[in-house]
Amino acid sequence: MNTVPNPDRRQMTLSLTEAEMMALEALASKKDLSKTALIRQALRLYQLVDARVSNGERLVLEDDKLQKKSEVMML
Amino acid sequence: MSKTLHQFSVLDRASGTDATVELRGELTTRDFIDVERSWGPARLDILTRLDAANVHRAAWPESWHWNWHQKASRLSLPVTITFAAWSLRGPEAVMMVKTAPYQARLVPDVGKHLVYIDFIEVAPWNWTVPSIAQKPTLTGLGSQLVQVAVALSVSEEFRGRVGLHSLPQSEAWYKNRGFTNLGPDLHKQGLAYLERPAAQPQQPTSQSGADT
Repeated sequence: MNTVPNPDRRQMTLSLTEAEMMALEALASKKDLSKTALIRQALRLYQLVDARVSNGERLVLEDDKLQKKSEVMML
Repeated sequence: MSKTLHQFSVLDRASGTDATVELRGELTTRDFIDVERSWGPARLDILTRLDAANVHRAAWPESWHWNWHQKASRLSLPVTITFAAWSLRGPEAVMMVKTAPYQARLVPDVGKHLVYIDFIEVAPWNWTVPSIAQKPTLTGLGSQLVQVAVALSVSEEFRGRVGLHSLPQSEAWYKNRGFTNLGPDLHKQGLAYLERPAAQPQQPTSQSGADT
């Protein structure tokens, strides 16, 4: 038995441009994650944001220091 | 239907022996109804005793008003993962964590991902309530669930980082388990934010018997 859930995983091949791959590698390095884990986190965030925006909420970025607010438009 | 992941032992204070409990994951709404059905009367019994003893409400266990059935609405979020410690008596402790979007605030890992403990609670009969001389039936459940959150963090490649907002009565308990208190968070009703850093060896647990 496992200490934490170990769901079955399915594999896929991902086709990215050089620039996209560089962005993925840079973010994975910055976040101290493998590229797979980085994409998994990105998908979770996307799901989370999409669920809330679909529910009528707005995605707003706020800078407390500059007292600036801007809405991220999800089109 | 929840899944049994693992079994572990905790101390049964009455008998002084180890009690085996199951660690269950992927809890369903039905499981949360069972938690509330089991814990609700026990919680009310403690509140009645606190009231009869004229204990000021500010000194009551801070989770006295929680309702796990209501918290089950969060199960629809894709980032929510749930665990429970379950004995033959029923649910002994429950934990709800999130794998996103929370990020570390502790230097040097600021901005890196972590597992966030949204809610964690032991059954009312496992509460330590000194004002009515209540001692927990089983001890060590909270520590075990925190270790599960750490294990999940490792499996998610978050290197064991775990964060949470703590009720005031529990801050010292988390500090004794390797969490650093980063102070009150004005975005979370002023609750203290605590974080357990990456790759930290297991901390010795307190001997006080208090285990929330």
